[in-house]
Amino acid sequence: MAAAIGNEAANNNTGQRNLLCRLVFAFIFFFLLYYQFSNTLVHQLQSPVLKFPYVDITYWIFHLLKIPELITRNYLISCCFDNLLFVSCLLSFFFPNRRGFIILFFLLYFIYFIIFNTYGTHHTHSKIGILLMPVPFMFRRPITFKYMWEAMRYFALFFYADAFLWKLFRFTFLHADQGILILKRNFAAYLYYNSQTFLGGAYTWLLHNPYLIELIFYTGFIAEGFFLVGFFTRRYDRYLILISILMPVGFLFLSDAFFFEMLVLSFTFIRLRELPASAIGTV
Amino acid sequence: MRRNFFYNLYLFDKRLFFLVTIFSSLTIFCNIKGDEITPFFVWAMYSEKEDTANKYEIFKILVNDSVLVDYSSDYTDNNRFFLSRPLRYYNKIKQNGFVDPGSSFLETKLGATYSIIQPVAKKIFNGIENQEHFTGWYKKYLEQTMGMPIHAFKVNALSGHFTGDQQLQIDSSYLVVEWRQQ
Repeated sequence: MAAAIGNEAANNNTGQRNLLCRLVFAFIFFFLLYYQFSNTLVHQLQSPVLKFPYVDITYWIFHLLKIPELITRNYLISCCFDNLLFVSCLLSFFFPNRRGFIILFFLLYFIYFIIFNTYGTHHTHSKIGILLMPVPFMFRRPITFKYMWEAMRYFALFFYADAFLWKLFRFTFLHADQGILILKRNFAAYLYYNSQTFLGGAYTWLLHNPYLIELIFYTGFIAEGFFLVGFFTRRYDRYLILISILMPVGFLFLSDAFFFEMLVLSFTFIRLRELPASAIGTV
Repeated sequence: MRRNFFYNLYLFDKRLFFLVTIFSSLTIFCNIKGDEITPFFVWAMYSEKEDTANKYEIFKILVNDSVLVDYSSDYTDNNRFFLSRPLRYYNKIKQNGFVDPGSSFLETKLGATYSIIQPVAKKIFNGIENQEHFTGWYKKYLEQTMGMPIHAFKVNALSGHFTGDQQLQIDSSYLVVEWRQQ
């Protein structure tokens, strides 16, 4: 009887894992379509020439092995690469138990991540969520998946908490007009070309009322700090989901930064049902 | 202790525990050092104190002598990223005497020891051939973005400041890159 309950629980957890896998890969597929619409799939990049490995050893290794060059400089290879990216994502969605497809997607997206950042000449962070989110699904056993899912939750917490700590230890929060200066730096071109639009007018109005911009900046700073609580308790996870959804809106509004891909990490704040002891084994 | 994630993971699977611990430790180490090595990311976004000098630089991209490209709003964020960032980096290289700023940064940081990695660095950073091909690439990417053939384009950098009225006033401009079909 206990074994039957254990098997049923394990089946439920497999079902839960598969559901989450499909949710995550549906989310990722949507963003792959967005990349296509944005002319940023590898075959659309037109064999870029300027690279930006900076001082990141991983980028150095990729360029020394000439992996980005090999994929971007040949149109046929780049088309095959993009197609494989889409196909592996779809296969991961339809066959969540086939870990091979998930691993293949992870490897391809890792290469895409390097290509996007090095030829975009800036190491963006917005694609990290999609890069790392497939990792828990590379594990078949429900209990192993559960641990890795929890590890991803800690990663999501760390991402925001770290941003808070950097601002705290660099005393950025004491720097006068930090929010206003961020807005001006990132929206200078927009305000030059679109000063007559509704949004342009709204930003100009905000610049005339700078305390509102500073209020948004400090709210964001405190909201990032709130993620520290998640390291000690899951009690506030429902609020963390809400904040993690609002944060990219704030980034877009204040700094014209597109962080919506990081929303994929918000899935980790959904609480998995506890596994019964019989399915957990020795834990 | 019994409810601690790392403790439970250690009891469950020691190999997985070591993998997660190594990843976490290296991420924390990179954050303390302030240097990012993918996939050990540093989330220092917007923590650097902003420059208080009221001086801003934007681009004016003119295509086929008549079409002004609004790279600040006309396209999706990722598209705008590829329209502006490589252009900005090209301009930085140009202002650095056609030497990759990454190479200059590393040379300054490492001092005498830079000579050890110089042969590798030469393969990694942008050389003169990358810079020469930039104009041709930018023309092709503009065509990809705008969906039309391009026979000429010109990019100027406009330097300006915000007036008391919160309008961006342009003070000066200079040519970044120009291309015309022969």
